[in-house]
Amino acid sequence: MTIDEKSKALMEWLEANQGEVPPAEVEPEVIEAVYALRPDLAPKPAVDVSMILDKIESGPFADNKNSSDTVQNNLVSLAKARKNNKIWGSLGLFAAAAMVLIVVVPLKDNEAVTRQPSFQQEIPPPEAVEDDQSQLYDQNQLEQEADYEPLPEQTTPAIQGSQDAAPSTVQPEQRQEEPAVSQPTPRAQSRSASDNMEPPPNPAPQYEIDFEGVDLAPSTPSAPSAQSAPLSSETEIIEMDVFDESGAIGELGGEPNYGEEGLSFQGYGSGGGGFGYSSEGGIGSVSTVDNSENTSGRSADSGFSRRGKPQSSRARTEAVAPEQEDVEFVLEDDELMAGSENREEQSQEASTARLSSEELQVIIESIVELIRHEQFSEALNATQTNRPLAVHDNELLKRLWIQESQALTGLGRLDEAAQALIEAEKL
Amino acid sequence: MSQASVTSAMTLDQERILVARLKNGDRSALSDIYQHFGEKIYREAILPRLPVVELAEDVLATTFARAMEKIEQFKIDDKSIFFWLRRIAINLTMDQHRLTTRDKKIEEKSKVIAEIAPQGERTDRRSEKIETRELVEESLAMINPRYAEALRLRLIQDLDRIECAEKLGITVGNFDVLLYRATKAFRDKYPPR
Repeated sequence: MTIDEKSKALMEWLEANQGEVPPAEVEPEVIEAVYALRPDLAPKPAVDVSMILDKIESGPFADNKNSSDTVQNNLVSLAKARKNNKIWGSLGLFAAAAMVLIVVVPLKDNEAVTRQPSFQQEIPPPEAVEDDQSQLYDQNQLEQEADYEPLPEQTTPAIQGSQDAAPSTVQPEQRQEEPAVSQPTPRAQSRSASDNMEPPPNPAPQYEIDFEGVDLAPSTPSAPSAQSAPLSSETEIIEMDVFDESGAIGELGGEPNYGEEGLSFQGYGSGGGGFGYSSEGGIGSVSTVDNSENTSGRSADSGFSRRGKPQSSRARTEAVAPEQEDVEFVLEDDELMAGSENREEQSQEASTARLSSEELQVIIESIVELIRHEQFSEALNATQTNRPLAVHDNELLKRLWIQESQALTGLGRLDEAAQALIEAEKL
Repeated sequence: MSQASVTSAMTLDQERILVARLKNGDRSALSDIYQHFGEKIYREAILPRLPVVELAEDVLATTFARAMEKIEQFKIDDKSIFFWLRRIAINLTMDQHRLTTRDKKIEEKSKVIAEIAPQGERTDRRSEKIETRELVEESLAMINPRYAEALRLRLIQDLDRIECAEKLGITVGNFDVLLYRATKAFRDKYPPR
């Protein structure tokens, strides 16, 4: 653009109305010179109050800006507040979690530690063992008694009554045979022989086991030869007459089996209610046959009637009269009669003696635990106390000797420990 | 000029009331004072020293903003608030010159102008015109006399281009070119100090 054109545009802008926008062709320097000489020719300033307020940073107008700005600032403030709340909330959660980790978890650990059984809790003291054994004995006894349904209480009077008032229920021949039966049987002989033997060791004080009604003599190592010889030589056949309530005839069989350690008597019944009982320790066996009411027999030393019938391997029960409910027992001798007065007690004694083997294993395990935890005195006391209960079982007795030897070794009684070990080796 | 009439329309008592409202943060008082003195400050104090429109407008807004921030310190006696606003505008104009590197010469001259300018309470509207005219005459004296005569005839005396051409003995076309070159020369010398 030539200078003529620029000058012409300037003249036209100057002759125009005041405050109009200068033409683009005119150089800014020319426009600025015109504004310096004629400020009135410049357009009005494009400034309003809001622009001024935007530039105000302090003073009375700084706190009195328009409401929109205030609202916007408040919104920003609220957002910041929410953000702060989130931050504080997160910090609070973190603090709570830390408290849980610091306080609660250690408390739980402590509780877990306190709840863990100690050795003393795991291993009951001897008294507790004795109590537990007594309870076990009682429980086993109850179970045994539950299985073994004793005769009704009127049985004994009925027996007597049958002997007194109902002689017809028994065959005359049988009654005539009573005197022969009343002769001392080989079993009785064995009992008498056992009476001559050394008395059995002292029973364990913690078990109220009445060994008087149970012949433990055969269980001693030296006893079997003296006891079993007469029995085995005669091969006595026992026959028991059982009067069945229902009239059914049941066979109650008992086959004497003289093992190493004593008399074993196995019974079986065909009447459906019988059970056989085998005693390895010379304890009297019980057999019964009945549909509704069990009747029980007992081996020789238990005092039940026995009739020797050669060539017969079973004991027979006969129902003589369906109306007669009781069982007639023919007693052999006074001694056996005295032992059979309370059959419940006798069966209980038998159960007790039989359970002692099982309990002894528990006791031996407890003794092992006592020795493991260096409670040698208690272990020694337990072995010595329970050893008489194990005389019928060489294995258990051997274990008891070994445990006693260990207990004595722990107590420093080496000579006695060696002696106990020798006793164990003998077995 | 119209700005002068607006300014003269407000008495000192009215200005005292207006200042009292400004001290209370009254936005309407701010709008009133800007309506009365804004354009005058722009055209008489800012634009003659800073003829760049965009910069002059920014200085104008900043002038009133700074005045409102310090309004509680202002004590009106017997002088108008215009001179207080004008002093603020001139100072801001000098600051603007410092910020721009485009024309350091202008910045230096603006400082001189601010130094020689009458201080607040002693200045009035007439002295402001005299001050500005002195600056213009000083600059005109620094350029070609024919350029200065053309500027005086056309922009200060406000004659039309035909009369100006006749007085200078040139054609109207030549006067237009002469005026164009005179304005550029004047801009180079203005402000003179």
